[in-house]
Amino acid sequence: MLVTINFVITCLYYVIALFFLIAIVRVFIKTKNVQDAMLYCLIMIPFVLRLLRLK
Amino acid sequence: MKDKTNIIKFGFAAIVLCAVGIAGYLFHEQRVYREPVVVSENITEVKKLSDYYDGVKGTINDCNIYIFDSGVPGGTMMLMGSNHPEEPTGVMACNMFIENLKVTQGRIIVVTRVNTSGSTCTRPGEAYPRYFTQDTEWGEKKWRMGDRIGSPLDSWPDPEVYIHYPSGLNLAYMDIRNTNRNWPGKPDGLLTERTCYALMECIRQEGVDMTLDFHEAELEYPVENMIVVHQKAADVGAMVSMMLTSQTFDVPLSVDFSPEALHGLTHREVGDYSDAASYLAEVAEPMLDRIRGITDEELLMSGKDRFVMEAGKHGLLYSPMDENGWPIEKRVARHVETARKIMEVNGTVHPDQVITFEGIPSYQEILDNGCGPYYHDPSTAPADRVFYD
Amino acid sequence: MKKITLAAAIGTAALMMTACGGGDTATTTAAATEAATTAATTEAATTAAAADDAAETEAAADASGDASATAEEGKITGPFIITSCGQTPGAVMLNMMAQQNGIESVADNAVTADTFDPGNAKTLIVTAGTSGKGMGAAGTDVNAEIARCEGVIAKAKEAGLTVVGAHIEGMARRTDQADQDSIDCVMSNADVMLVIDESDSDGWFTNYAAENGKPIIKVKDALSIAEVMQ
Repeated sequence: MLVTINFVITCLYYVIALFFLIAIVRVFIKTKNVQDAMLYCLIMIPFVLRLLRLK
Repeated sequence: MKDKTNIIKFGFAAIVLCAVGIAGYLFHEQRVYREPVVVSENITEVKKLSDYYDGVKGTINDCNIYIFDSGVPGGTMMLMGSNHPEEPTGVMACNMFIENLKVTQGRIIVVTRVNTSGSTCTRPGEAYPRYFTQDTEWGEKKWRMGDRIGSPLDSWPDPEVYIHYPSGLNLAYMDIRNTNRNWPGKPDGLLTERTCYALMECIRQEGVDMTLDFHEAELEYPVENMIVVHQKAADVGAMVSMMLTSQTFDVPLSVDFSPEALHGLTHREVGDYSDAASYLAEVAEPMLDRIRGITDEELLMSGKDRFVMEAGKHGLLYSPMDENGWPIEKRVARHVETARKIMEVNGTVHPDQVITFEGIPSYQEILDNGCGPYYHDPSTAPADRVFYD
Repeated sequence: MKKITLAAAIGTAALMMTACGGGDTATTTAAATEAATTAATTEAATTAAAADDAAETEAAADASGDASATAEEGKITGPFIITSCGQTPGAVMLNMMAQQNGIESVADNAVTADTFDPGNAKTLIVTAGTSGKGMGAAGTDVNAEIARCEGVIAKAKEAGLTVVGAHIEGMARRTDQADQDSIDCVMSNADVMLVIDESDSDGWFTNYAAENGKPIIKVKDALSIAEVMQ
């Protein structure tokens, strides 16, 4: 039971991570503020590493 | 103006992507690196943990079980390394046994990587090296330096509070991934619980008489340079402590009983849930101290740290610490000698459990020669004697 | 002022007697009886206390049967009853040593004044120092351990047993206040002190024995204790 719950939560987690990554990429593309763009880039790092299951 | 902004934006994104690529490569490299071990020609069999319980089949924790059977009736000892992968002498001591052992009476079973998952990542925020190496005559032998607990890539999320099975003891949430808080395991639990259950099955099915779990501890921690024994091993543990302290070790090896109310640890649960008498050995590892200086492979292997040494001068440590530090060969030698002495003393107390063996260097030989000479070159060894952990 | 001067003079005189090897063996440092093979050192108590204290010490030694005799010989005499004031494995270690020497011995870390049965035992050994793991396992704490051991020691003394206070697990059992409380309890109630060199590496036990007029047996390490058991 716990294993199943964990599996579902993990899948949801990756979906949420993907959602936020897409959102960040979107605002990164849209923004005209260089400083904000740099910030979005840095925020993307953990999302990318998680989605690729590297960390 | 817009073009310039885009150049800066995407230029920076490219830099970040490179950083992600490098970091990702390094994480992945440690995740997939497998440690070659050249087993002794006297090995009987190498099984997988899933042979004892298929609930771990196909998982990263389906480790090798190295079995040395003399064919002569006697006792059975199981040695366990890397229960906490950030304590590397366990895996080094186990490898020393696997690569050199010849059992002449009884059986010895070695599990090098109890928590393989934990050895594939390091602890966040601690700046641990990813690997550690030992110089040998043929080159460097390399192991993964891990975390204390399993990787969240293999078991996630953790519960708010980890409730140990079957005792119901409440433990910290991350201990659900700590193999030394999950014994005797749970067959339908999360990965670490299933791993411990499979190891318990191995102990029960193989009829193991005693287990020894190798650990290391920070010098600020009172359970240091000690063997912790299950109550049914109290007499042997006491004798081992006295003999090694008196005859062999420069720093005493004390002994303590396993607390009956603290659950999930090998020294408690293996003894309670199998016929085996369980032992856990601790040795000083300055790299685990909170007050250490630069955290690198040099510190891990030399065991020398001036900050920890300074703490010792002020009486803040539970272990002596001087300019000689706690070098890896001394730490490995203590574990190897402790295992030898437990088998020796146990054989006198329980004559039906005698284990005799050859090929393993003495405490003094390891101190004199270092660990290097006792590991063999996998590139020149016969392929059927090379296994990977 | 006169009293202070007088006390100082008596103290100095006692020290000089000690230094010269004079005085009663029960109150001054006896020649260290160092058994060549055992490496066991026996020191009768050193005390610089005034005559009244000395008399008290001597009386206490007499009351405890052959305590001073065993100390002078550097031996402790079985059969033994052994317990630990702090649930450490010390009692098991001593029990193993006794049994390997063929001496009747029983180790019981749960014995209380109510359950204490001296039987044919001649000596009660109480090991000092505490184990958090051990006390946790036994569901007790250092204060309960002290109360238990004081009761057992009182019963043992009533039965005419020699009480040996032992510290045989080295500095690992001298780390905190719980250890010290256990040591204070055991040593203050002991007729004879038995310690290993590492436990006394700072001289604490030697000084304690000297200050309190207690015979002390020192051995190299726990394994050497077998050589002072008889």
